[in-house]
Amino acid sequence: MDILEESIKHDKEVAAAAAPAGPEQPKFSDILNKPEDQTRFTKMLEQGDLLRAEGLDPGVIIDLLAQPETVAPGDIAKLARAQEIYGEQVAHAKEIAETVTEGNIDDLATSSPELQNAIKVRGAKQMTAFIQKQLSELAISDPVRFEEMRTDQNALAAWQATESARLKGEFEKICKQRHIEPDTSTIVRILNDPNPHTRTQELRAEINSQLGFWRGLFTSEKTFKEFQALGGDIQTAKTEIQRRTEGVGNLMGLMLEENLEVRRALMLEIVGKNPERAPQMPLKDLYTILPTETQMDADWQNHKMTIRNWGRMSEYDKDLERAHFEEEYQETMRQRVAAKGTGMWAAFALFLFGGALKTKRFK
Amino acid sequence: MEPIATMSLYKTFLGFVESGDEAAARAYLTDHFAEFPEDVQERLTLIFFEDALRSRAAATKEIGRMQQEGLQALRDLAVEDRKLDDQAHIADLKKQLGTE
Repeated sequence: MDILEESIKHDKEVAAAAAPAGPEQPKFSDILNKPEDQTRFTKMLEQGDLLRAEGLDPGVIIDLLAQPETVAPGDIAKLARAQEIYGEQVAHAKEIAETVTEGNIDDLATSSPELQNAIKVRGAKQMTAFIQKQLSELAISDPVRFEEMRTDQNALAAWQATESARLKGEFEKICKQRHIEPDTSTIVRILNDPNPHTRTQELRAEINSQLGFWRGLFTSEKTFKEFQALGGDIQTAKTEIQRRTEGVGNLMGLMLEENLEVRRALMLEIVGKNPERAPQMPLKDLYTILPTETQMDADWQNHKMTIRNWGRMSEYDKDLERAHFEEEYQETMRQRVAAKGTGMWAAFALFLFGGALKTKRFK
Repeated sequence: MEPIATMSLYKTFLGFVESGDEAAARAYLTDHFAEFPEDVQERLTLIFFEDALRSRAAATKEIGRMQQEGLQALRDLAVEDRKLDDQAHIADLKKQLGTE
């Protein structure tokens, strides 16, 4: 490995000049010497997608690493690029992981009752540690799924950094100009209800009522022409404008509300009725894909029939065959699920299938 | 408490897949979370996190769109209100001039 490291060190300047500007890269020796990184790096090579996306053949890189003493100078750049790809992916995972803290995980959980419950059971500290660890794994083991998550995270971060404050500022300016004071008395009264069940119900009802008013306002084609139609009765028209201004102002105020309970209810109501929500594969779509334990055994028996001399094989060779079958079985399942869609159920099904497969001892 | 074995959890999950009852599946995962092995809890946490992030991104996009719409509505309402004030002012002047 010394020759390889020396060569990489020597070529580092050239490779660095060719590489796009980005986060500081880990040294190859660090990757290869730290068991955690070594495992992930190997996983990246086996998974292969990240390298193929950059025009590198994972098989070539694996071969080069298997015989480092024979690496030709021209291949050093390939190894250096593989190292960079790994470093970039680790850095992306770190970026997202740093946005998940004990202090803000409750806020994010307003969008997931399941995550809220998990936090109650294991505590925010443990949940944060789980997520941070798993993000590093996911970045390497499933780059496509990780990229989707990164896109969502970046969109949220961009929103929080710029848009959110801009819209709030504009709203406050209009409120000042138009003497609008969002009426929060109903929300405050509801939040003072000590019964969590009725409090949630009332909160949802209030939000629904305000959303109903809002949607009525924007689905009415004659909205602004109405005022002119009211013609001579200027006071009636002004009263109607005042009513609408207050209604819009109240919901705008609600959308800027920082109380977690209010935000949770608002998110659920809005997302639940949002047709643009990213489509997720429904649970029932897995029905024809996931095998029962009996089916797993049957699939193994079918596979075994294709192996010549099974009866005369050593236990070591049989274990190799089992491992090969499990690997192919998992890949087949991954492709079948991916063909149906993505989302929470798809991810959980693949994980459970893999776990169940590991507990099997095929005979 | 003994953790629920992965194969047992897989079989339970297959039951929910067969019925297609997502609410029941979510309730099961929530109610039994503490009984799952540590590695299942870890992976499940990431999946919940991913789901929360996806929902939050969708909700934020929608809320952002609604806020833009709301701001525009408030501006439009202000314009209409000013027009009505002008109409009222003109009507007053006409009345004073006796030209109504």
